[in-house]
Amino acid sequence: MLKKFGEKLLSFYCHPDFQEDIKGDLEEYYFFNLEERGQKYASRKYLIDVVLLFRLSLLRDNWLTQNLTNFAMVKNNLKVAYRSMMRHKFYSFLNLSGLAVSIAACILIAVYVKHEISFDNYHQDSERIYRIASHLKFGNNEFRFPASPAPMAETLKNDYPEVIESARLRGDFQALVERDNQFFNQEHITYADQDIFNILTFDLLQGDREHLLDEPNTAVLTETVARKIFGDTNPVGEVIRISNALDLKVTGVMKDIRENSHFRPEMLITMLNDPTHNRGNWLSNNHITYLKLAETNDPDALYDKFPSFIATHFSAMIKQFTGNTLEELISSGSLLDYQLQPLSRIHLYSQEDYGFASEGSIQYIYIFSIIGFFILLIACINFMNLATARASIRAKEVGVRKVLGSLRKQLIHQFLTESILSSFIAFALAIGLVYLVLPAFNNLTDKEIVNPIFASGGLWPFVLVACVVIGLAAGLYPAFFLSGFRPVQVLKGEVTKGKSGVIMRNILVVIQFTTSISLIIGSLVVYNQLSYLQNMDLGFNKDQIINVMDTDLLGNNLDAFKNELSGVPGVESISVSGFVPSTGAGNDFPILRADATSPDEAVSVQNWMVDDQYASTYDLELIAGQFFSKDKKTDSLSVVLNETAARRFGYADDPIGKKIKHMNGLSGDEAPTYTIIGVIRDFHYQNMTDIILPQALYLGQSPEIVSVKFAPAQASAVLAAAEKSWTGLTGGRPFNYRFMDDLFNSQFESQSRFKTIFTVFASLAVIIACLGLFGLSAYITEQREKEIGIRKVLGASTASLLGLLFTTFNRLVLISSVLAIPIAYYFMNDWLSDFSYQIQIGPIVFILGALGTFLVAWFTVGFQSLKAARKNPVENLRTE
Amino acid sequence: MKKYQLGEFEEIVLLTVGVLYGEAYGVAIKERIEQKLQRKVSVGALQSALRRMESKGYLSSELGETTKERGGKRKRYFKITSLGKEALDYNRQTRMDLWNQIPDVAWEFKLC
Repeated sequence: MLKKFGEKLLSFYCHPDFQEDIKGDLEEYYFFNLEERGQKYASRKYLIDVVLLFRLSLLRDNWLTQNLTNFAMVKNNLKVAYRSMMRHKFYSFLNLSGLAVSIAACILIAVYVKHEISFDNYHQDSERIYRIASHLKFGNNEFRFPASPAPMAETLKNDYPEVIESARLRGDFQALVERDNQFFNQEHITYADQDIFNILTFDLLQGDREHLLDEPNTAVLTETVARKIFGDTNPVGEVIRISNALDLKVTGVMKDIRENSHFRPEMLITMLNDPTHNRGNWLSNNHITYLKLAETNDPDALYDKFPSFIATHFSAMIKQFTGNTLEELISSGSLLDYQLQPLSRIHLYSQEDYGFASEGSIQYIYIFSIIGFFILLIACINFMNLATARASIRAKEVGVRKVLGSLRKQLIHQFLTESILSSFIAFALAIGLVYLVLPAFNNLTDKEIVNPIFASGGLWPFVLVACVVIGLAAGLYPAFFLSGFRPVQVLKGEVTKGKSGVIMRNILVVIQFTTSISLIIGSLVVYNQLSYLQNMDLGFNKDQIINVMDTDLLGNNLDAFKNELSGVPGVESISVSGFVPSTGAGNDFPILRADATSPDEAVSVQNWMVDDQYASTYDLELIAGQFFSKDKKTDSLSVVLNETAARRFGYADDPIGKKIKHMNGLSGDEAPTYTIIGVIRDFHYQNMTDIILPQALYLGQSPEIVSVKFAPAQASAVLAAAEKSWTGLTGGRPFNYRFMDDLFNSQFESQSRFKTIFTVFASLAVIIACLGLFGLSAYITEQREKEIGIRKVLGASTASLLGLLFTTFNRLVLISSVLAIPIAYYFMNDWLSDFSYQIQIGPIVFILGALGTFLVAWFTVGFQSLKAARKNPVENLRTE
Repeated sequence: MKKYQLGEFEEIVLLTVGVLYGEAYGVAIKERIEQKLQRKVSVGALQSALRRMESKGYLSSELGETTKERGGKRKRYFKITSLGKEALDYNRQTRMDLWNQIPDVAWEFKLC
């Protein structure tokens, strides 16, 4: 038994060559033992010996000894790849640097895209959370808000069981926070319902999650704000004072809201302190409503129920307010549409005005991804072109290898090893480059990304896969091309001068330059459009104006402040108002002509409270009538319209003296009527990208902002005087001010960022394409060295030789330009269509783009060509 | 770097193969070593030493005739190669050198 098992065991592991004689020896011992000590001992000994024979040197072939040949081949391929790389240091450098830079650019784009699409994904059950967005239309006025009526949240939850949670937020304002006579300027304060903590994932550090904002006068702070106001002391239970009016008890502290959130409040005040929160007004959209649906999660089914929901709850108020029924309104073209926006799509897809924070755009994501792809393509093409162009150099190697018995498959393996090795080196360089430029990148994109590749959940798996794929993609064509040579021809000297590759190579160069030229034209258009917007006639003066904020804190001292300031030398005029231009206003409600009878005639108008100095401070141009005056008592019931508003009311010809009234004037006469005393030229009171909408200015006390216009070069003196006066009058509250032109420029942040990114990547594309062109021209010139020498001997001039060498490249760049212009025109027109005020894409940008590329190409090619053309022909002809 | 790698046990096996010229196969070698050196030799140690030295080139081997004994299995006879002899010589030479270098004084053992 034991002996049988022993034999089996030995046959299993022992090398077949050794088995016979070892088994024979064991047999001999066995019989010896059998005679001496008996059968039991002998077979036991046999097994023990077999076990002890388990030695490395006696084993069968295994993974340690096998595959050696294959490994050697790989090693050899790597060695050959390394050698050929080192032999042509110049080409290798062109290849690797181009690849590395483009890969780094792609990785950065991937980092950006990954961050953008991660927005709001961290909320628990984020796929079941929705925001209600409104799409409203009445008459000629159309709105898209992220907001909905105040009672909507609670009513939806009560009416529909599939809505398991609902909560509201309101506002994103800035105020002065006071604690123990210390003052802090606090931004991003938002009213919130207690239930918001059941919907959105806020990480609570202190406080009772169930009772944070369920009582009046309560507030929750973020960690940073708590530290700013309270230092290291425990803030929970302490009281802070907001805007010198409202005392709030701090009930909790939460972690700072993550950067990838569509809104990032720093302080939440209970909604119970918002005076409008329970007035039940269905017609005013001020609250941002969030819903969490049940597990079944069918937003479309819920959306289908909205019309009947609106009929039930809105009708009465519509009737009361406008005098018409809901059905009448809808049949006359009005629209009351409330949609469910999935939480994770808000950042990239929402198109509403007045959203929280800056919102991303899916369009930019697409544009950057496409640019990244093309940059990579250009670098891969460089690799292919240089590899095939140098085919004649490697042709002999291929021939000799084939004669010595290499199979085509092995040669393909060898060339692929080369390209994958290049790709690995390029990736290593690229990753280093990414980490090197990451701070600048964060700066540019206004993000806070650290360690995007190797962190858990980082990009490294994609990077690894991309590395191999790019190596294969770039190497496949050269590998098949090079390994296809026929040894006899190659060795006889009938070197394929890369003829068969020429067409393919030219096509690839055309692709490169078409892309590059398109990108250049694109960045020129972006640049032009942006400088057009920034330098457009605004209709108001933005220079030399300081806005002092929070002036409502002055209370009765406002006039004293104004008086003190007007005494300061250099101050030209002072105006007190609720709104200043280019901040993006949010105070519109419908207004009617005095003789209107139907709500369809209503015009949605921005209503701003200003004082009599507003027009002179901002240099608003009066077209007709006059501005408010301090002395006229009747001005409190007067209004100044902008041109658009006058036109929309139908008063374009002779507006002065005509009257307008508020919406509720339809059902009764108690609504005030205003007389138009003047018309101002349209000015860009909102974002420059928005079209100018009707606007009305009223004389009134709205003392939030004091605008001070000062003489040139007096900024610091006026600022110092204003601060001194402010400190004296407010008892040391923080002095908060902005320069109007900074404020104006800040609205272009996202577009300027887009411009910079676009320009950087466009330049990269051109540079990488030119790297390839440089290599290619170097090679071609080298090949024609003898021809140049002979031509020169026969009397050709340097200029004619240069012309000869340029022709090929000229033709290629010309074809590329012809292809690129329509492509660029199509895409840039599409991009421009988002702007209300857009430039016409003139021929200049195309000419500039194409000409610029020509110049760069000439410069690149010219360097090599000139060197060759000026060389003494003797040197060219003497070689060999 | 040592020119010839030859361990103590390997050296004994190699010498024994020489001693048993023409008759050196597993069982015989084992018996001879056990007999002469009064020490136990395991089959595993012996066989692995033999194969190791064969792959190093110190030994060559060939299979003998089929016999009725041993369940019809052939014996593998080992022979020292010239490289094996060189290794043995080298080993002996280095030892002799060392012997010769020991000063006579070293052999004068005193009670101390």
